Amino acid sequence: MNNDEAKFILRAYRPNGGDASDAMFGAALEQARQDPALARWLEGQQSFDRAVADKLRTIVPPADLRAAILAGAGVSQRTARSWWRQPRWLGLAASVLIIFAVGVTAVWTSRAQASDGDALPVFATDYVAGGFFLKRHNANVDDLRAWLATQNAPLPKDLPEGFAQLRSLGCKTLDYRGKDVSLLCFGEGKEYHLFVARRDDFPVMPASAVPQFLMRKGYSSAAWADDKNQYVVVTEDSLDALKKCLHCTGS
Amino acid sequence: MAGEIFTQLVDAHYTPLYRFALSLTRNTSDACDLTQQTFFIWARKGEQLRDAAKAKSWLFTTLYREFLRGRRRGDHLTALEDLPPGESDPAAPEVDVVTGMDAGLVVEALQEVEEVYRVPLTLFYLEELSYKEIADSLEVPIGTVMSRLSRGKAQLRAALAKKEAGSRNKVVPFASHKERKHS
Repeated sequence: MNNDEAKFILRAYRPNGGDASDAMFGAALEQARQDPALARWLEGQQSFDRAVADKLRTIVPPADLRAAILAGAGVSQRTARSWWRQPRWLGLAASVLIIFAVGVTAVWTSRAQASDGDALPVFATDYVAGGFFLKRHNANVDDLRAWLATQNAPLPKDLPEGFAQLRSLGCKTLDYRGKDVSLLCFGEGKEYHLFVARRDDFPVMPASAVPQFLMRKGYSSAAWADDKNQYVVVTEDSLDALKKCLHCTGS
Repeated sequence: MAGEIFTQLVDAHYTPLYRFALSLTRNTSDACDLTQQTFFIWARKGEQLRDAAKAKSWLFTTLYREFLRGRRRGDHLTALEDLPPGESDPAAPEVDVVTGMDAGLVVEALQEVEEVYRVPLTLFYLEELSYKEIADSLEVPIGTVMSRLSRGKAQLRAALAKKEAGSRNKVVPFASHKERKHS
């Protein structure tokens, strides 16, 4: 082993001595003991590494981060599905079923001529495909609704019953054409992302109660509206799975 | 009991995880989100990990994967995969200068290192994971980690030297300031 090879290895030697017992460093360290020039280099390297590591250790997380982690993740450890079984939710879900059952399913195969009607689903799909971080994490959707309310963001009136099989992951708000849109994420394996926009904010958008389906960038989506909101669900799951999820609303 | 264990896990690891997240995301808000998301995933799936001793590696690995998943795709990392190690260490500020530097400046310099090198370099400086564990977390060979550390350190030294020079140039000598004031 020449000194360049020894240096290459020793650059991975942690300054806190955590690697002292690792055999891979043994020969390189021994060489440094024998070679004063290499020893000086190692001393300089370790001093520099220690100084940087010490600086990094002074970075303190925001004061509320610990509490936020415990509050968010701690709640997720509970089973929080009982709310779905409550009559009010079942009633809402049934209404979605009726909307769905009487409707004709249309599959959008092209978005070449994007209109306001399909602009939100396209935006939603691209948003999911691009990746994002959630602002609020909780397995209890009531907590998510409460948080969205504090943000004055659109609140879902009804949720598809198929979502009862999914755990809520979290939510956030985002801006679409200068208006607030809520995003709630659910998932157990495959994730389902529900975008909610106020109809009043987008009066020119078609407000079909019949779910309209779209495949884009490998994602399936469905869009519909009620008297209050426009909804778009985007999922990496198949179109059939999405239809089945929505169809579960009252079956 | 499970809650107690979870709290202990959070207390033990959330600070270094946040620091790692900060180096990846480059802003406090996203770093907090990423750290929360990591523990949230643990809360959902962590119990599947039978070997508690591997919890730390699991958390760092998960945080990094979430970072990759969550950002907008622009994957240009592989092109730099197996560059040879730097031939020599570039000029760097004296250790005393680094020690006297504001921690924020050091973090800024670290954040200027290319991501492909910054990720293993930050894990190295956090001193939580060995080079083998870093290799496992990033799913790259050990030699690649060593190579990236070598290159990353070279970039960090250069970035620190630049920061140090920049901060030096901003200093207005007291004498000239005084002279101007009274002229």
